Amino acid sequence: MQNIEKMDKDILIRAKAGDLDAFEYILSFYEKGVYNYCLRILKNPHNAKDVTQETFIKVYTHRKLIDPEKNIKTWIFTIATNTTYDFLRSKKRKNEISFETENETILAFKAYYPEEGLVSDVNKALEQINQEYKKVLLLFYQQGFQYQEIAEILEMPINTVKTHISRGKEQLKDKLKNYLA
Amino acid sequence: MDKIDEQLNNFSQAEVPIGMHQFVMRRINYKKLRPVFFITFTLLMLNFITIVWHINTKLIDAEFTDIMKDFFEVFSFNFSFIKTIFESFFEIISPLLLFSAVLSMIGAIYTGKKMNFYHFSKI
Repeated sequence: MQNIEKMDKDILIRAKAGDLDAFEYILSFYEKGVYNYCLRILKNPHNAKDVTQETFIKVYTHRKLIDPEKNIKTWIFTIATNTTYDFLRSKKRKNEISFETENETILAFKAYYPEEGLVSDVNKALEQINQEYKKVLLLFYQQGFQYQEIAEILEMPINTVKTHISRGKEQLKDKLKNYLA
Repeated sequence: MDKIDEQLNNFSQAEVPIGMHQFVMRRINYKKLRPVFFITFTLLMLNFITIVWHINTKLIDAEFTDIMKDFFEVFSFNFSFIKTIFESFFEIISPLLLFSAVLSMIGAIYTGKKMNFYHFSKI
């Protein structure tokens, strides 16, 4: 599991005060994680890019809410999750999802995750499991969050997080049974 | 389950698209500069209104064309020409126009100072 990188308190205080150097540091630190999280959920690099940009603009706009005592990564990912939900809702409203051909999305996605073998199959299996489980697994394994932090980000009880991780892994195991046999 | 854990722990991460970082910084800079643009635009509008009002009430009503006619009539390189220039200058440049010039200057200095905080992305 990845370690959660702790942001320097001084940088958070400066970012809260509107210092752009400090904000750019935060952006550089977390943009890759947020982008990959959005990419896994949206399965489209262009949409993931848009949502990531929107997330960081929201972080700057609401910078007064930064708590230097807390882990900013949790807060950024809460914003990213909500922005992703909003994006999916607005797309659904416009019926854009139905116009997107599945092949195009898969091709674009493959270009970003070109691994072969089991890695590739884990990625494919991840796309087939329940979306809620997938989100929790991504936050836990890809982003290295603790149960409590995931519970805060997804606004769900900590026990639900644990259940989702366990069920998500069960579903993955089921999809990958040929490999694991 | 160990194999899955191993794969999940080693999730690959795609690189951030080119230009994303710069786009965010540009948008944030613009957000910060927007109030400055608003104040600058307001000052320019005040300046413009002052000049228009001055031209309308002082110059047109005071027969500005006649003043200019007199000015060109005495156009010759002698002392009377220099004297006329000074007289005409103060006839045309009223305190109101000076006020307008001061407004412009305040606007320029304010914008210049505020634009200093524009943050050029380091990446």
